[in-house]
Amino acid sequence: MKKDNRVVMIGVLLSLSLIFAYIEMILPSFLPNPAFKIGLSQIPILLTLYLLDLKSATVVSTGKVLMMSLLFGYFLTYIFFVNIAGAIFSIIFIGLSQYLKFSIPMTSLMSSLGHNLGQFLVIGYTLGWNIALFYLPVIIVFSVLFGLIIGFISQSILTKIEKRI
Amino acid sequence: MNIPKITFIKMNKKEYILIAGLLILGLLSYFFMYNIEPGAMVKIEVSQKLYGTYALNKDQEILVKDSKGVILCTSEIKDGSIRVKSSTCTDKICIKEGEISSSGQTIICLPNQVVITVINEKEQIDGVLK
Amino acid sequence: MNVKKLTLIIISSIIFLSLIYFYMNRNIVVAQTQFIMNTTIEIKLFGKNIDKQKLVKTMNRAFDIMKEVEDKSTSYVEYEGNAASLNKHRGEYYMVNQDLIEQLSTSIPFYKLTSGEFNIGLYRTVNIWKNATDKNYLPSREEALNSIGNSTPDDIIVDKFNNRVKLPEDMEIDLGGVSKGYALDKVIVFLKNSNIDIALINAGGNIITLGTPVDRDYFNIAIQDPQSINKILGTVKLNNGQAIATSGSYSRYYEINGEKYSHILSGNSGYPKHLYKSVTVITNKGIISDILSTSLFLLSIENGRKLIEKLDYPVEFLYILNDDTIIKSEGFKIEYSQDNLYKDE
Repeated sequence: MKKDNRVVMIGVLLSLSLIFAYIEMILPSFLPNPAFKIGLSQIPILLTLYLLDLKSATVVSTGKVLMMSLLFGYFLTYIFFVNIAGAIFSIIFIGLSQYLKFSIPMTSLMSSLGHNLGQFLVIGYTLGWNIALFYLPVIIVFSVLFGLIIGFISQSILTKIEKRI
Repeated sequence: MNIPKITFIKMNKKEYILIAGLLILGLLSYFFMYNIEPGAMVKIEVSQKLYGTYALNKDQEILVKDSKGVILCTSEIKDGSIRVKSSTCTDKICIKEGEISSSGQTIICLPNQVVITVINEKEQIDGVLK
Repeated sequence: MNVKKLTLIIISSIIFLSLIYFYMNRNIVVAQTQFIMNTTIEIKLFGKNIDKQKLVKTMNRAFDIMKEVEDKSTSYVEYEGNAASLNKHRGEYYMVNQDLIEQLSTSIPFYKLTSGEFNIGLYRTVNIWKNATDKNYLPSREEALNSIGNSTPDDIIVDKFNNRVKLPEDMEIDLGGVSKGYALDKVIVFLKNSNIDIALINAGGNIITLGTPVDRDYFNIAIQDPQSINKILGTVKLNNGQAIATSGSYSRYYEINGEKYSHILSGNSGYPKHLYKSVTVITNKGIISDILSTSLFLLSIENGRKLIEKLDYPVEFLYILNDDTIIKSEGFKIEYSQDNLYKDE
């Protein structure tokens, strides 16, 4: 793919990711704790990973956190670091899945697990481990559930894209 | 636009085992970590420093400020449970979390680093001998 | 990816969420308070993965057992084969219920062990004090002493095999200091048979435990300050099967001319003895804790120690003396409250 095309694709997917993140923010949460999210914004990141490459996915993932923090005014505050840790761990876990040749749903699961684990580590380190530990079981179970759901959605989108071309 | 061929890897046995393992791990930790008992006290921490402890059986409003005196949030104790009434944070998740009353439950306001935890201050008294 | 798979995912996630909900709610506690045996009795049952309705049923049955024991042991309302009927049929063999037989055979030996201080044959004496309270006069020492009569609990003939009891002609019994503890033991046996692992029964001055809460290996029991209802002397940790009982001058009393007279009467004189502010006993049987707290309350500390040595039960004790000093056995581990005014010996 040409370099220009790549940049355009990243731009489109990043804005998609931002839109999804925003939608998720304004939608009422049906989960036991409103801090938990399904992670709709992970879909464009997964699309980037499979349509382009890991490097582009990293750009979209960290770009999303950066843009969101600028849009909603928490750039370089505590919550920004929590989120960026989530994004970085998520990318590390995606890389690991690529290396282990995992399927799309499994990669998505790993990504969401990494995302939550990164946030868990920062929160545990700064606010105390017992508070973070209280959420650990929830984090694991919800990562698996929502990671798989997002993974299957992404997979079906990718098959449709593949067929169209 | 040309798009590289995506190689779809099917989910295999190894992945199913991993998923099952994670779920079992999660559920097991549920099993061990939670016991639901009503709490007696509530502890408020700001940036990892204890801001104060309050009895859950006394209705009151608590104004939480940071070390510089900037108001972070207002929490309200009513009928044995605590909630965040208003907050200066960006996402307002702490308000949406609603009321908590069981020991170990927390409300975390990440942007302001406010942690509200329900505790059994000394130890729960099971009975009084008269 | 097809519709089938998606529905499968949704259904399985719903199952998982409900599983989580189930696990979060699996420790059930049911508790209720009822007024039985002249005190408020609280029964608290802890259940694991058990139907709540079942637990409530068991709890109600436990209350029924307490009521049954009350009816079978009371000296104030007549039922077939209970203590009141036995008092009416004194001087002859009378068929009584099994619960009464067991209470009698446990408590009679304590008459000798306490050199006459613990006496179950004080029904008439108690009545004199109750009357005196109503009419607001102080019974004389002679009046109290004469009400006891010449027979002693040792003269009661308990025929265990035929469920018969013969009371001496000049004695009527009052099991006030026995039946509460006995009822606790009976409820615990019932709960064990109903597969309840964890329970706490609080009968005011008597508490008995079964098992311990899920997250620790003890029950935390606060002991009320004998002189102030709103204050707590301290807390003790009760392990599985331990029973605690307290007898105090100021918890239950006859009030005559503004003076408080303890409801615990000496079996020798029929008069209250105010040797201590309160005596608390921990042992592993409800009936023993009940009898022992009363006995120790009436005995000197030295004689109390001798009595404990003669028993086959592990006993820990704590006395609060009239000058606010505390004397306790080494194994009585109490954590005093911060505003506690009493001092160790």
